[in-house]
Amino acid sequence: MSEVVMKRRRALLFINAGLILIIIVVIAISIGPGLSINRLPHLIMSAMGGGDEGFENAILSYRVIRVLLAVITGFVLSYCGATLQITLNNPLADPYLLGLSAGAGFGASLSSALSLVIAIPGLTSKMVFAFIGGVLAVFGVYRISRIRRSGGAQTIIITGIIVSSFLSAAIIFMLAIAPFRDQHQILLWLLGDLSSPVITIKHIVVVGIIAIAALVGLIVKHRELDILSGGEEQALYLGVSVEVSRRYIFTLTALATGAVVSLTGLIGFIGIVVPHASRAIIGPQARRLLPFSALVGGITLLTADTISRILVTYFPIPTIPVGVITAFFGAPYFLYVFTKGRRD
Amino acid sequence: MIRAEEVEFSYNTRVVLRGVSFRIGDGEMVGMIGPNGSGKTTLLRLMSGILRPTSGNINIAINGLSFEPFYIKRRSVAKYVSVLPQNPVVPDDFTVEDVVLMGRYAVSRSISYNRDDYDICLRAMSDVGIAHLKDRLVGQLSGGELKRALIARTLAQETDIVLLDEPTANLDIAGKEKIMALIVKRCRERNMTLVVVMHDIGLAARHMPRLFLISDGKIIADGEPGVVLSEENILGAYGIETEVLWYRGELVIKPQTGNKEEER
Repeated sequence: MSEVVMKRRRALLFINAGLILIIIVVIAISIGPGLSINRLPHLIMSAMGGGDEGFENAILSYRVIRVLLAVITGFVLSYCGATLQITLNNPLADPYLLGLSAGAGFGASLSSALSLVIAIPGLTSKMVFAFIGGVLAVFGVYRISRIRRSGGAQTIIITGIIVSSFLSAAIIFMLAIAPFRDQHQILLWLLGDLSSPVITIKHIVVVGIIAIAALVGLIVKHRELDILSGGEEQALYLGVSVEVSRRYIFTLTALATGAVVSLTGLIGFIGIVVPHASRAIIGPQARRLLPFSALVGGITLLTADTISRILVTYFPIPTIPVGVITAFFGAPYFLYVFTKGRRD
Repeated sequence: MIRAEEVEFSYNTRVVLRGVSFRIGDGEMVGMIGPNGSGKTTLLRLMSGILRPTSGNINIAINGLSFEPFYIKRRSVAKYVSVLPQNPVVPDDFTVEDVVLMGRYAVSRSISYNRDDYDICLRAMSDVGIAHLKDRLVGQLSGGELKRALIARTLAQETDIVLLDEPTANLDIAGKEKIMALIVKRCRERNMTLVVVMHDIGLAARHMPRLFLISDGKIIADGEPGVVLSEENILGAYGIETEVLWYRGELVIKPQTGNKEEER
């Protein structure tokens, strides 16, 4: 009986999260100067009919791209964070902890500082370098942690921290030698920013497909993820080949996170806070936690970005990186959830 | 059948097992006793195949199938051998049913657990008397209830060989007796091979028909409790003088005060 009640409650939670996301998407698209909400239906209709409303349409498409990017980024960072927290059996784990952020940051700052170019149509060199840097860093962390034969979750995390701090030093070095005009750009990227004007709907489609594919690939392994949350030895006894599973999970999370990070830069805190909050709401089972975290992550990042856009209209500043907002609100919220959890 | 031949094992330079050989037939029940650090848990890990013998070999034969557990896929091993480790970690926010279902992972092929898996888990839970706690969160269980849940998970795996590492640790006297009786009953009904690492010699003597006494990486005695638990064997393994008494057909081990080693 209680199982039926639970199921209904969980279904309701998913529906609520989905609705909230849709509402915030609408708000985020309509808010701001140059476009009013009652013009929206007309614009969408005319866009579908191939009509041309010029200025308003340009604003609309810019906003739609930005909103979609925020949602997808929130999605990916959150479910990847949830996945790694489960896999590594550590509440602080996220893709960044495994070196992804530092690797991507190094890649991006390297390409800016030394004006390196890898020409791939539709992609900037910074994107390409960030993606390669991030994925290589995770791969490297994993390989290095395997040198110690007993390399378990702890070893992986410690290796990740060490490699990250090494790469962080390299990022600072790149910043120092970068041409003055690029320094601000690099800094903005390191803080995470959704306002990049070079991102087109094509990027969004590609990253969206990667995001969904990786999510599905992870949910398919939900039973292994659940078992891994009890630690390595037990997982082996229950029939999970821990190494094979970890390699699979790291590959998917690194590719998905690398893809979004290459577009947005390093948006912090979402990957840690959202999975925690989601787990407290929906429970620990991967098959529910991953999609739910994804939804909550989309809501959270989009809200943060919308706040940053609103703030920009009221303060005489060109832009507030969304990473600043997420950390600014995320850290106190995390402390709240954490201390509340302790009391219960 | 589990067969060990001259198994040696060392962690880096520390030798843990030196030349261990034994045979455990199908449906046999063996209690492994011995002092802390004598190598009991290591031997269990070798049998389960998560460690590889430094030399010698361990072989498992079931239904005409024979394999060395370290060399085959974990999922295949888990179909034949289930293991309850000493201090299993289970996140607090899983329900009892979630945890027991994990035992079905190796067996069920589909992406999710199916009706049969749920039924088998429910049966395992009622066998250990926790069916009513199905939807309870693990964090809300008492020590004894958690142990039962984990034993249910091990039983739900429905393997021919069951290896338990101190299933009754941290339980009170009633809990220990009940859980041991229940494990033995269930294994006997299903003709499962059972190997249990135990600290409580009396408990082992009462429930297990065959004991291995392990000391310093060797099996120094193997046989019925009455034979294994002689005063000399206990002195040899644990370094303590005891008086072994029979009381109403049961073995009672009464430790003498004072330690032989210290007296010397």
